[in-house]
Amino acid sequence: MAGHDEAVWSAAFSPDGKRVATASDDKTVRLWDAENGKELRRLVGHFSGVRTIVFLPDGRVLPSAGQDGTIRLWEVVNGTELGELISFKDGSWAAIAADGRYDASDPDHQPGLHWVIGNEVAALARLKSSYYTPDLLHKLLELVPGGK
Amino acid sequence: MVLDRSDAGIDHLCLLGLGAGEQSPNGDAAAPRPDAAPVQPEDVPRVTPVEGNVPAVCRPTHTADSTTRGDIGHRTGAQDKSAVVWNGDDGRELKRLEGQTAGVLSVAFSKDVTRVVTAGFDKTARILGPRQRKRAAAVGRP
Repeated sequence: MAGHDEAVWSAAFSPDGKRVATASDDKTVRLWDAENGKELRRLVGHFSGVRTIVFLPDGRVLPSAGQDGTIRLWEVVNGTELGELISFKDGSWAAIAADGRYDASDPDHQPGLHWVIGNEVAALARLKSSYYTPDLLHKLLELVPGGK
Repeated sequence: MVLDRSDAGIDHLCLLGLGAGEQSPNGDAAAPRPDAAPVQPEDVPRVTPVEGNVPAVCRPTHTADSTTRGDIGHRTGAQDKSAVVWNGDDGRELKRLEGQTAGVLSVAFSKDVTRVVTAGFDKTARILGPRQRKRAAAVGRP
């Protein structure tokens, strides 16, 4: 299966064995047909090389992680990025959905996490009332088709 | 939402606490296994390549029943272009998977253990198994 522009650091079979996912230094994750080796989908979102990939046991969601320090969750059936998970060195964490909803260990103040509105930088707490979503990760996973 | 700092990169994802997710989509629950707990690479006894020095990187991958193990080792000075499938019990080498034209970075089994996928520095991934055997042979060895 050729197509990546840089080294491929991780490969995994889907639980049903029909697909293979690969993670590469070219910042992309790709899904391949395990039967004929054709590229089915290109998942773009990581800011730097992707180093590791794994299917969740139900095969619907594909987390990937890499040099940008984030774990991104991809919906396998359509390639949509559900969101990203970040754990900080001090033990705090954040989950951010593609639509801006977020959850965090401290929803009011997380160093390094802020809003950008046009050219303006806004503190996390400023849009909390609109976007803070407790238990966001479970809500995201529940919405994936085929979920319980 | 913007993250303006990047913490250390992530090199390995390991699934933990997914007991409820072990069911397949069509409902047939995977039988609970005592060995189903994810194995951190550090916990796995390493199989050191026969030749060369201590491997700098070693990322074992297990089959579901833990009887067979895939492994890659980077030997000092030269990255290995092959992956090795070991017997999980006695560390015997069962098969050497050739095909990648540069160092192998990843090896993984399909759930039914009939196929293995390797990937690496040559920017490709290769599936090796009964169906692909001819194709892999066609790639040829140097």
